[in-house]
Amino acid sequence: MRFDAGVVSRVVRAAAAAALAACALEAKVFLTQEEALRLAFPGATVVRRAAFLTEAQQREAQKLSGDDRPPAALATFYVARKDGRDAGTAYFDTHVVRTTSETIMVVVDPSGSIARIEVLSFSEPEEYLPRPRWYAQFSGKPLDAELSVKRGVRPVVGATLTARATTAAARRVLALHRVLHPAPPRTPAP
Amino acid sequence: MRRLSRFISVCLYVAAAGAAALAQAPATADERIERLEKLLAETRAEVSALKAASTGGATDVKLAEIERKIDILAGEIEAMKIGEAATPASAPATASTTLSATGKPVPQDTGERYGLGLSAAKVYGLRRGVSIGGYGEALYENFGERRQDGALSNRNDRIDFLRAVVYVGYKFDDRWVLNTEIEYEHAVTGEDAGGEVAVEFAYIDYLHSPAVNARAGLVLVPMGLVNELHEPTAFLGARRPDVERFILPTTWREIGGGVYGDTGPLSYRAYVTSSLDSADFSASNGIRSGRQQGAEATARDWALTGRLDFTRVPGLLVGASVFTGDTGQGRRTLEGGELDARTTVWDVHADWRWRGLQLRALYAGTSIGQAAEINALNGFTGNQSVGGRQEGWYVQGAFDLLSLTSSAKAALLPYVRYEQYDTQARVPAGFARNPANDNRELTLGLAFQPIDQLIFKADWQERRNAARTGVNQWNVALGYIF
Repeated sequence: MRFDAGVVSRVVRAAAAAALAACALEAKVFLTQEEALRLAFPGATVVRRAAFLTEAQQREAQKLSGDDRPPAALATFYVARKDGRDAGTAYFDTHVVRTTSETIMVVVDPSGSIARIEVLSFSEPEEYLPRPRWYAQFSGKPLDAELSVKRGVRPVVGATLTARATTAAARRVLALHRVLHPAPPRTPAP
Repeated sequence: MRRLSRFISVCLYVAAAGAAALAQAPATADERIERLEKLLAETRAEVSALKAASTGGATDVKLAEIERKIDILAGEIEAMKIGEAATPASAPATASTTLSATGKPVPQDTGERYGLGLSAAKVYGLRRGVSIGGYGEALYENFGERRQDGALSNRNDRIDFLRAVVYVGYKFDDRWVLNTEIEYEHAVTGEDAGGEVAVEFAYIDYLHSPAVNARAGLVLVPMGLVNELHEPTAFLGARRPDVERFILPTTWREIGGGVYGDTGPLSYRAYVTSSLDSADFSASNGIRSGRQQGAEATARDWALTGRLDFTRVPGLLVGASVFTGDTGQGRRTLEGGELDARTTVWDVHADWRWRGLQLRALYAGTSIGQAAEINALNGFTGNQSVGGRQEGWYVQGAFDLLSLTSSAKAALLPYVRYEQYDTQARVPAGFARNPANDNRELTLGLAFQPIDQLIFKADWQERRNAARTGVNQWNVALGYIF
């Protein structure tokens, strides 16, 4: 029996559509993906990339982030270039805050630190949404032990779960970025 | 070519089997997405292997087409995970989307638009729906055998499922939202049981913008640190601070409405609600029993509540709130005049969190006009007087020991709280203060949070009062939210 390869995508797309319908949640949308990317990279050329992680990469990313689960095998990210130079990489992370979800964009600068975080959608009551200034504190933070609400990230009175969920997402993204874009080995000084 | 056909057949079998399994297994959406991602990863790996072994020609063309479709699927799965905020379907769904080439104006980044950004007020596609949450707490109290003055306390130890609460919300659309909290207190209601069922709040929000929103219904009076954030994981201590029980009578709710929002470094609330009823004020409970709680409340007198919080520095909250209104509720004095009984409650509060450290402080005061007239109407004499002035304060500190480790998600918090309050700080001429209402409490405890939504607390309380009738106690509590 022979099949056209296009059937593969149709079958998987149908399953994906079914899953989409199953996981639909009501959410307040503050920014679309495209708007968030424009906000982060004005005037830049942004290209979507997909990467498939090996199991070893998944394990490494989980170890770096300290997350309970390894990241998905499929990672999608957006690489921005402006004036011929690397302007940063954006990742989107959707996670549960209390019982419903939040989607944020984490922009990683060329040095591997967080450039900014934007909230795209938030399904919990807005009382649990920290103020914009809270998100600003992530700028410049690298992936280290300080990236924790117990340490270098200030929590929010009344929005502890959001603070923790956002910080965990930031760690996931930086870990994933480091696995996908390992720093070149240092050459010894002559 | 035969190898390619065989591979495609295998892919189809895997995909079909996967789809069939998706249809049959009671998998969550996340699990389904994970399976799809795994399938794609396997397919991608197989394609790469085939490309490596390919001799070129038509096979390479076909493989390139399969790769293109895999990238499309990757985009679809990403959109599925992100949901409504995903780039609209009308946008180019190719593996490489050049956003600056869409022809739309590119916003300039001012650097001041973190978090919600300038587009915070934009409303896109929306869905309707019900949301459910809740919390609960149980408390064991073990009382000392003797009072402060050495006499027998005659207090029986007790254990109680204080409250099991269900939140139910409904989003009519992106502007109109209903929030309710239904509370079951003390586990059982009935003729021989002391439990009760209460609506803690039930209000409708109109979400206009971050700066201005409106709320109406049975609302929580926005005072102090605990009243609006009274879930067991939100405060330390097996029992709530008594200052926020007797001076600020949590959980305090009244029917009314008002506006709230954030502007600059400030957040505010301003409500008009039903006022307290001075007919139920008392010496020891202060204004607590005067809460009307939306239950067939007398609505002759109304009150204004305002609150302002400064939140410019992440981790720091500093604010103040005030409630003021007449509480006579149509009663007349014994002389026949109208009883105003203007009551004003105010507080200043601060909460600071830095690394593992948590500090909290609050000062609250109440003044009640025509206290002598209230006493006369309520039949109070001697030291039974309503306090014309009531006040209290507390300071609390805690440190998360597990913040000293690099990876612990749990929290282990020793805490200490000292509070003073007096529900009869001042009484009208001709009445006396009861020293038993002049209280000092020291609480030493330990809280453990294995995960953010569960908390176990144990503490010891030294309870003193000026009448030397205080009884120490230790407590154990568990709490959950979901």
